[in-house]
Amino acid sequence: MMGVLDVPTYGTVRIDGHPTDGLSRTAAALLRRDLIGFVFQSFNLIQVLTAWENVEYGLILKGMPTGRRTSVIRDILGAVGLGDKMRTRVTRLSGGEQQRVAIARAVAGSPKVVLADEPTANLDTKTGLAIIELFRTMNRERGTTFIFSSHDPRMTGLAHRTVTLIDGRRAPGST
Amino acid sequence: MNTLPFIHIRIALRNILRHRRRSLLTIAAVAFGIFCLIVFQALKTGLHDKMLESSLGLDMGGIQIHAPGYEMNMPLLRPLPEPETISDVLDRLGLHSSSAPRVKTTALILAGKRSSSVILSGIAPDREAGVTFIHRTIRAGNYVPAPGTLLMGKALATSLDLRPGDPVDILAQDSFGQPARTRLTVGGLFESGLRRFDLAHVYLSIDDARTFLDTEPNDVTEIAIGTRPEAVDATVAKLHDALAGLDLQIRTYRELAPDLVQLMELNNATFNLLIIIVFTIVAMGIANTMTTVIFERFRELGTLAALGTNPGQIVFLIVAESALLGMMAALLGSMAAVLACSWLAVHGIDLSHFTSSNQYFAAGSLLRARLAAGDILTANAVTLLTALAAGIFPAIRAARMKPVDALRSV
Repeated sequence: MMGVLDVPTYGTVRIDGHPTDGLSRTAAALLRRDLIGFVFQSFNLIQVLTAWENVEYGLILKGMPTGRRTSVIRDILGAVGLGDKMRTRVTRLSGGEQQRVAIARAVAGSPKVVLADEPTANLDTKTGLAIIELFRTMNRERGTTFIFSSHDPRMTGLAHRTVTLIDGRRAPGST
Repeated sequence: MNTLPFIHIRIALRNILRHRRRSLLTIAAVAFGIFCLIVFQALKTGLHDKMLESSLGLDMGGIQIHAPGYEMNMPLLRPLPEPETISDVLDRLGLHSSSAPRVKTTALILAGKRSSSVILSGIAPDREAGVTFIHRTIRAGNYVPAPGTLLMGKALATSLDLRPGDPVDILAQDSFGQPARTRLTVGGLFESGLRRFDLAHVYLSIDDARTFLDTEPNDVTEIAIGTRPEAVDATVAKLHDALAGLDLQIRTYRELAPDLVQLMELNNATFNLLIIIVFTIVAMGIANTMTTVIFERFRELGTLAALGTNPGQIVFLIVAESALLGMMAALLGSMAAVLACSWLAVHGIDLSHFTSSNQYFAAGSLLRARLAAGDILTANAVTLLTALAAGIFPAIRAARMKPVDALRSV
């Protein structure tokens, strides 16, 4: 519901002050495009595109000009450690590399909110730390909100607010 | 520049290539559809060409000019008014060499104890050759009837036991309605390919006919004009303008031979029905492929929606894939069809076993394909429209999905 992929049975979800109830499919798509980045646990990359094209897709949707787009993609793929695999088809990348493409895609357009499902689960320690640093920098410098689920204490240690779930319910004492 | 359509086309193309075997099967099925459409159309055009060539070139021509009421009673000679004026008009319209003046009546031909009723045509042989193909079917003697001779069908000569040089008597009704009789010599035999025609037609020079039927020196009862079917209407309009003051009956082959026109229209209707059936099957094939594609990629489409791709853009993506399949198939099918039609245009299909007694194939039984550029374009347009139509419903279905359901699917 926070991703405007579904609608609440009752109540209202607001993203950056925008109410999400009663939106048409097109308006909901525009809201997701402009405000939200997703990192899915199983990556959900577009299989027939390269790492570069996967990141580029969202930026094209946003209408970012070609020159700026090129610079943003190069920077973000470099930041997630894929500078040498930008033009590789994502099906030829390892699970960790695909995870990094998914992260790059989610943050490249500087969304207001990034919803990430286990963003460091498939990454080695060094890469995981690099991603955590990337998230911290974006949060500090651009005010991007990261909402993520994680079993990784390095990630949960970063959070300004942590909600602990046990069997799908909020754990007693969790804030 | 917004490059979204281009990246969607790139995705569509790569998805087609990702499932090569399935894509090839779909492309082959659609290509077969367009191949059938083009080849059948070319054969139908060739068939109609042959039917028109035979029907118009045997005797009728594309246009005929008569005095009003001519068809009511042929033995009652009705000469055209002002034949010199008509001749001048034909010259001015550039129709001299493709128009044949005739004096035509029914007659009885007597050979000893045998006889047969025939249509007797007095012709100007040099002009007649611009309208009919009888001059190309001479089997004995001469085409140009010398004074005192006649040209008859070989089948008629056989039935009357006649050979070139044999005498025959002709009985007819002259221009005053009186019985007339003359003796002529068989000068030549023709074999048009249509036995029924050969049994019933004899030719003599137009001067001999005028003398025999006691007409005025310039009398003509019929002018046949060998105009191509596609030029008939324009020519008739010019003739009506130029001959407005004369009481004439100017008719096209469509009025003279409605059976021919109806048969061609029946062919067209049957062909169209066949094409509708073929392309319905083609459309179902594409729709089936695209539905499978959408089921397989439901999760990917959900991801695109999550990224902010709106329903219209998802429709475009799916339809682009369908259209690309259609375009590849159209290219393949068109190339194969052009090759097949080129071969059929040279070698043809021999239909003599089926057409030896058919008036529509008197000029020959070899059916050759004739391919028109417009037919290829139409076939390609039909194929692409079919592909688009077949893709649009699965695409709309994909666009209506709830992203959350699509992302949950395995």
